[in-house]
Amino acid sequence: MSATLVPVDEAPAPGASRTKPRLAAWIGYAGITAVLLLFAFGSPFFLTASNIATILTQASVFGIAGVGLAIVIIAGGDDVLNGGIDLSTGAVAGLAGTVTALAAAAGTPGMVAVLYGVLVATAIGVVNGLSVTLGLRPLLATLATMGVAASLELVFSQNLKIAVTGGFFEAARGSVLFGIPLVAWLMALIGAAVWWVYGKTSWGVNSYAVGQNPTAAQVAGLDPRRYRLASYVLSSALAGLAGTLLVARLSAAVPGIGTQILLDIILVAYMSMIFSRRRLVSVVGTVLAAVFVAALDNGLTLLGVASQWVGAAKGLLILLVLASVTLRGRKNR
Amino acid sequence: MTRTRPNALKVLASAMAAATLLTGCSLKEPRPEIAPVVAQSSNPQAEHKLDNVPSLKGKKVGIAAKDILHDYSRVVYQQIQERIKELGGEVIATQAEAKDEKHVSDVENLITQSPDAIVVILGDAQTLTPALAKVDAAGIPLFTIDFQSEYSKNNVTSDNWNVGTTLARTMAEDLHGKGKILVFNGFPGVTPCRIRYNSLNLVLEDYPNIEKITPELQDKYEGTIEDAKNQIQDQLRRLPEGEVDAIWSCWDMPLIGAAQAIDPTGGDIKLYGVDAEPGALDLIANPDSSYQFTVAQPTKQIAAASATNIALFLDGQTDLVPSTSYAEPIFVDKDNVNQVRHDNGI
Repeated sequence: MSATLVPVDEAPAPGASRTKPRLAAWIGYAGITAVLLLFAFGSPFFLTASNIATILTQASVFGIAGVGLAIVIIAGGDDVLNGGIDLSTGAVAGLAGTVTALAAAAGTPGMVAVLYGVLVATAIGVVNGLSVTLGLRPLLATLATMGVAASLELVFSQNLKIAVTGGFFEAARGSVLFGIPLVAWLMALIGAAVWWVYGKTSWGVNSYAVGQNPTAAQVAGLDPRRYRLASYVLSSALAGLAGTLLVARLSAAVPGIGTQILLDIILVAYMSMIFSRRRLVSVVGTVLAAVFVAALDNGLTLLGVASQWVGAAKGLLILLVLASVTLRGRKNR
Repeated sequence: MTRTRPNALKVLASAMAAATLLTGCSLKEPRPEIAPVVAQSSNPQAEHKLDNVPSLKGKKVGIAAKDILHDYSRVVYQQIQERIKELGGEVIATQAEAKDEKHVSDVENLITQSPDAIVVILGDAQTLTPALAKVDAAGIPLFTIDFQSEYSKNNVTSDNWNVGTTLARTMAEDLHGKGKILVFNGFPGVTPCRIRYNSLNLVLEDYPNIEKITPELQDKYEGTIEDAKNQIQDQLRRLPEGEVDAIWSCWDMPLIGAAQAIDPTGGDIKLYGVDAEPGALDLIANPDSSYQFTVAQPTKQIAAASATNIALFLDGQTDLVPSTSYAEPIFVDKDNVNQVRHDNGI
């Protein structure tokens, strides 16, 4: 198929005028800017360099894993029941972290230990991809591998925290470049690379095509299985990398952490739609959503909102932003 | 590190000793007497001490609790906020829903606000220490509750050595020094659990005929009761009937699940835990339940002591702030459970 290399997310919505979609594209940014301004005026600490570095650090793990999930949704479609979804992403991150920590504890150099963790994660991604291409529903297939990964994590760790020490992990946790944490640079680098692949190449355009309308894509000569298999492998590899970064951040592999981070990973991937004029999941949007969600936790704490209310306030704000985008989209139809 | 007890506790200990002499109880009794039920509020000296606490007016105190999932952490979390506000301070309270990653983030977010002090309630030493090093580097005094840290100016905790050895000795004596026990091995990174578990092993050295069944059981921090219930049901199916004589845990939550598995079967298995969870107290009060023993921690006293130490420290009276402040535990069994509940409102 000869693909026209117009980034899918930048194409106008069908039937929409050329001016209104532009407004729709900015509504998400506007909503988020309003929230961030509220935090900035509410707390003198919010826009300090150290606080921004803290937010970026907290966003990185979810941002990197979220980008992986975004790829799956792009190639599989955003129908939650039948489209692309990877429920194993949190458990895979946990398993990769445990493998990394065990390898490091056994004396393996840090970089190699990380590689082991990412490889194990990638292997699960291959299983996910093959399962989906063989016709299993992604929701159920990845639910099964989530169970497998979570169980393996408990077996390997014996349900105990596994400490990681050494310069490599300390550097991963604390290094700063030009005032920005190393992990944030890594998130930006991965985000940029994946954005280029999925926004500027024929592979990316085709992935969106098989995700949005697999029948039409097949008629056009594309093989959806190829793109979906690759998406699950990439998703798990990125989840594995995120898991190893989480180990560095916590200085230990924590059993069961995969289930704790899954919802936030799913949240940032789907929330990326608010940055899209066509309300599609996007890579750049996922990175921005990860930063926004981290900023929400941070900002609400800075405003002195009682911790019990932070979850509710966070959910309400996200709901408002998503609702505004959806309503705006309907008007534009 | 200096370990001192508040004066109030010395008075309390003296009162206990006097009561022991007056009642003629033998000090050779291997099983410790149940401690008299004395809450902070019933101790005039303690009240006097709290009344002389410096004001926290104009001071901002950040609180980072690991969770409010169980009664102990929930009450301490609430009480310390109330106490700091009573002293005129401003509170920024966070709780991490038992998530290690969120606990680290909460501490980082508190550092950003440059509070006058940060209090950490419970937590895992391994995962939290790098964040606490940042607190120290930022020049913010760190205070902890039930969390031992090299960066803490003061840690308020129950005397977990006392709790742990008493819990283990009570179980060992109830078993007459012979039997097999199942052990939930808790959370090694959580200081109170580590001390209580180590105390169990120490005590069992003197009871060679009490055997721990292997593998030990691993408790989960979330969904604890249901998970423990399933684990015990599985163990009872796996092991020959009558093989298990007792179950030990460093906290009550798993044992509530264990009791749900055992009590309907009428099995003769005794349960020993810590924290005086309301559910555990209900079971201990039930004469037909397998739940035998728990340990109540004076949560109000713990929270008040921490607030006092923060106020003293920020007032410059650092020499009055000990590294560790111990709160006296209250041991609860089937004989005194109703009295303890009545006296302490738990």
